[in-house]
Amino acid sequence: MIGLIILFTFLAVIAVALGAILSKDITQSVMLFMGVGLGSVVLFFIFQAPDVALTEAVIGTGLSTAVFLLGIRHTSQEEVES
Amino acid sequence: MNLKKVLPLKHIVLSLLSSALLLSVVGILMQVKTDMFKNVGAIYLNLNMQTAAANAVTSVVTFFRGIDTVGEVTVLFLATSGVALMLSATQRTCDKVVKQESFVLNAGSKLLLSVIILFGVYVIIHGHLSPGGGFQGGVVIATAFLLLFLANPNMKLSHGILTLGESLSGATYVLVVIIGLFKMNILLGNFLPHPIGEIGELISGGIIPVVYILVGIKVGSEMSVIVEYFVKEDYYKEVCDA
Repeated sequence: MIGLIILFTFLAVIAVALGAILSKDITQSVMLFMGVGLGSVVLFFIFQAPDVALTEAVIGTGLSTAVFLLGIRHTSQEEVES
Repeated sequence: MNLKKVLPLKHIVLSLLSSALLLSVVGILMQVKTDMFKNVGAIYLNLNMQTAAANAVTSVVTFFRGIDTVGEVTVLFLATSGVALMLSATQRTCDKVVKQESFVLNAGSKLLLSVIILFGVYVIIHGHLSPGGGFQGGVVIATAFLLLFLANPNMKLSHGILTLGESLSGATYVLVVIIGLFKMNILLGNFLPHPIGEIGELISGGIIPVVYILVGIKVGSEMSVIVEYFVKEDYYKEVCDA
């Protein structure tokens, strides 16, 4: 059972990370990046690193997303092909 | 078809080099046995009995690798100074009042503020008993202020109190390190009594909870200042430049 949860979380993290890279909308990309952090929290907790999980939950999904979103407000929304 | 045009020599050399590097890394990884990693953890777990802190990770962070924590705190201090220097130079004095966000967000943030700060303080104080510690708890407290500023950008933090708390806790941390050097002949020596029988109690582990509380105050005030500068910069740019 726990193996299934681990496998599912790994696949979800990889899918969300791919989505964050491939997305053209930067806000969407940041939200998907937050999903990567959220999946990592579950993985860290399953692999018995609750300290790292707490750090990732607070910094990876909370503070860094807020800082990214504040930065995006001053930049263009769409990714521009150079 | 010209092969040289399709595959330039530079690309072939680069791909050969990178595959050789990859192969050597895989070769090194094949030599690693899993009990190599177990050894380090087992050593620290055995040594953990000396520190009388129930959370082994905390005793590694604040005691065995305590000097690393001093370095991290210094790095964070420098980062905060950089942000404050850069953003306070461009911070305009603008008397316009920024519009508040909706009533729900405003009331909700005020309701949640005390609960989030309480959780942060809990994480800091129980750092030597349960997962978490000064860094995590400090950032939790900063998240509460982030919520407050997002709801109402007119809110102001008292920078005098924050600077006082931040510098006092930093100076006390360095003092604790140096007292350990004089009393126990090692940096960060655990000079407070830490009997092994008290393991798991709130007041146990000697200087470890003291160090984590100091780190928590420092990180909390620094992160709150960073968050305030970021949010204020954002809103001022929107209102004053318009």
